[in-house]
Amino acid sequence: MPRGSIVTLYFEANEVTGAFRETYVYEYVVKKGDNNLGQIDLGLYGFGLTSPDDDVEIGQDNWPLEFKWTVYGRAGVKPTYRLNLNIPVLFTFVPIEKITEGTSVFINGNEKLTLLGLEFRLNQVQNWTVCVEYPAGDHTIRHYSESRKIKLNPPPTPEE
Amino acid sequence: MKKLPRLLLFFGLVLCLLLAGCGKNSGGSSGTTIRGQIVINGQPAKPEQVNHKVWANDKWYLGNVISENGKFVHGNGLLDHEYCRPGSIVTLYFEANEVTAEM
Repeated sequence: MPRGSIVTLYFEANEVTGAFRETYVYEYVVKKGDNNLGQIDLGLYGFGLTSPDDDVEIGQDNWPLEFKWTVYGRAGVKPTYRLNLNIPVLFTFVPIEKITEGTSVFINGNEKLTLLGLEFRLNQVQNWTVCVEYPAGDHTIRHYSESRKIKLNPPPTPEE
Repeated sequence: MKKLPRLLLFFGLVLCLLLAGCGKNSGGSSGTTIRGQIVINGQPAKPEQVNHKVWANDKWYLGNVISENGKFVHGNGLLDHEYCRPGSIVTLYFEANEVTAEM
């Protein structure tokens, strides 16, 4: 670069640094008068998805399959984690869900979801997310991680 | 002379509406408010960093914004009266935006 050049430096942040993309105050029951929810912090506090990687296909030899993430390390908060294996239904996604207080969960391959009489299985899953949930006073906070694409090929179940 | 009874009827109707409190919900003035402050890792969020909407009554209420110091309040908006009342179940949604910084 020759001396005297005039340059413009450009920085782009794809996301708000260190924040959950989506946060909910979930199903709050409104009370009479002033409903002060206090501070709602969107920060990640060390949380992130670990494995499996984004956009991978899991073969029939990899079961049971472990999903892992890092701890939400905010002082004084002990969250519940909800692993959501998301299946497209009509214009939305419905999850096969596993709930834990730890930072990983195993799925065996025979998990399924029954909705309106219809049965959905793991081979229909398109992506996964983890929801970090905890109470905050009289309300519940839910943070959702980014989603990772996945294709699952679970082993055949006995009736298949 | 026929105008007098009509005029009395009109004013009577207006008085009745005022006493009955008609329209008291149209501006969300029921006295119930929902408020809070959005922070990101302890720092108040800026309006351009966070989108905000409300899910209640099986529909989304759009057009909500947080203020410069991350604070939000519901209760005085045009449609706030539909969900900002005791017993309503509401889900408040906050989405961290993509932020572009240019120099």
